[in-house]
Amino acid sequence: MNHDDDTNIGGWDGDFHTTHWTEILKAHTQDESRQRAALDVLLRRYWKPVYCYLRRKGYKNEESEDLAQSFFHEVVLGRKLIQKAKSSQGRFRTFLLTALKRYVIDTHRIEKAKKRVPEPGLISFADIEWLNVPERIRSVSPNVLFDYAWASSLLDQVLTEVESACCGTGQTIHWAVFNARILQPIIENADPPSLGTLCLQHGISNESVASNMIITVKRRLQAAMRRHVRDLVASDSDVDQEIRGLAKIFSDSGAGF
Amino acid sequence: MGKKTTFGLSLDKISRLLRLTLGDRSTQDEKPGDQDPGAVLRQFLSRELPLDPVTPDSLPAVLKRPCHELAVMAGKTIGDLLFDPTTDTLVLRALKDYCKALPKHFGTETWQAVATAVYYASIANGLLFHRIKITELSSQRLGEGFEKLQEKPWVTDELKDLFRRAQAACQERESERS
Repeated sequence: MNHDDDTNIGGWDGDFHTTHWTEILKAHTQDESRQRAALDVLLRRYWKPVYCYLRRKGYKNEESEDLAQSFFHEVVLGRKLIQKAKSSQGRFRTFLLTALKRYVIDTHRIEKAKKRVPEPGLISFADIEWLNVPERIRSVSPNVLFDYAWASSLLDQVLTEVESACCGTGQTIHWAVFNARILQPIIENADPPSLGTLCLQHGISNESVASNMIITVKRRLQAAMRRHVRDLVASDSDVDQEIRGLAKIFSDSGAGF
Repeated sequence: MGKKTTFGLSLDKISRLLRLTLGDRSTQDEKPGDQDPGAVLRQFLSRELPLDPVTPDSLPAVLKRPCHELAVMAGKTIGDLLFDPTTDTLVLRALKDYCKALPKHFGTETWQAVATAVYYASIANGLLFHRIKITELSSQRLGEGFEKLQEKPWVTDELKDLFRRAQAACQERESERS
């Protein structure tokens, strides 16, 4: 994957490669469309974690929405948080969370927030599923909930991207087999179908071929995840550590859950 | 993706999905050298499933079936399976069979030792949490095996505790018979 300055910054679709958006914002500060594109990436990745953190801190829905809007408007955009993060140590999401915590310390901002953000707001909260979130998740610590929402958004993006890539390159059956055998058993707590069953369902010649299909998709998944996480850590060697660290947070926090 | 978002899934499921995206650290294709069995054991216990070989078709036949069966626990580590009371006995059997076959693929003493430890650990889980013996070995023979493994300095404390309790379970079974 080429992480150089990408001239094909599109919208939020399967072809978008998250390049170094800090470089984009620095290098093209006069180009509003590029700034907006980079900001769109950032907002889509982080609005949910920010909102969830605020809800978990006890702010009501409207307060959380307003605070999140004003945070991104004032701090992320206004104070050029991204540029500052480039030179900081550690992960960007940690940096963002620290900035968010500082921002909401002053509770008076709740009242002023509504007045600061231009209409329409930066973020659309139309698809927030807060009420659908199980109570057990909503009751974890704000920090864990922030990470949870971030990880969930990342997984959604990566899974959607890989599914799209498989279907777009003649590997629809590869994806179907991987989804049925590996993903859905995790997501739905369901018994996985046997490889033999999957071979019959999809006209696959033998179980070895089906197994290889699964491995192929898994490797696509790993590559996609590395691509996304790489932008957010200091070096290649930090990628696995970042993912493992998150997995461990959720294992430790969700013991028995 | 059957479900359009992972938001709302349990923490454990998110953890497993994340682990699924980690790079392979394949056991099957590694060239084992003279390694500390403790380090190899810890690495093996932290292996995420599925256990994919680097070259898919290179997987020896004896390892294929257990690998396929273990693949359904994708995202969990081998350590997770061993210490989890809810691990299904079919999965434990697959893990046991995998460990039994592994030394035939890797002929080193280190892998023999590590595979034996995990082999016994999978049996221990069955005894302790399912009250089922997933092996033909006698309770007496198992008890001796558990005892010997507790004496190994490279076996983790958590495994030693598992073996200690399994040994006690074997002694109880032997007592019930007599």
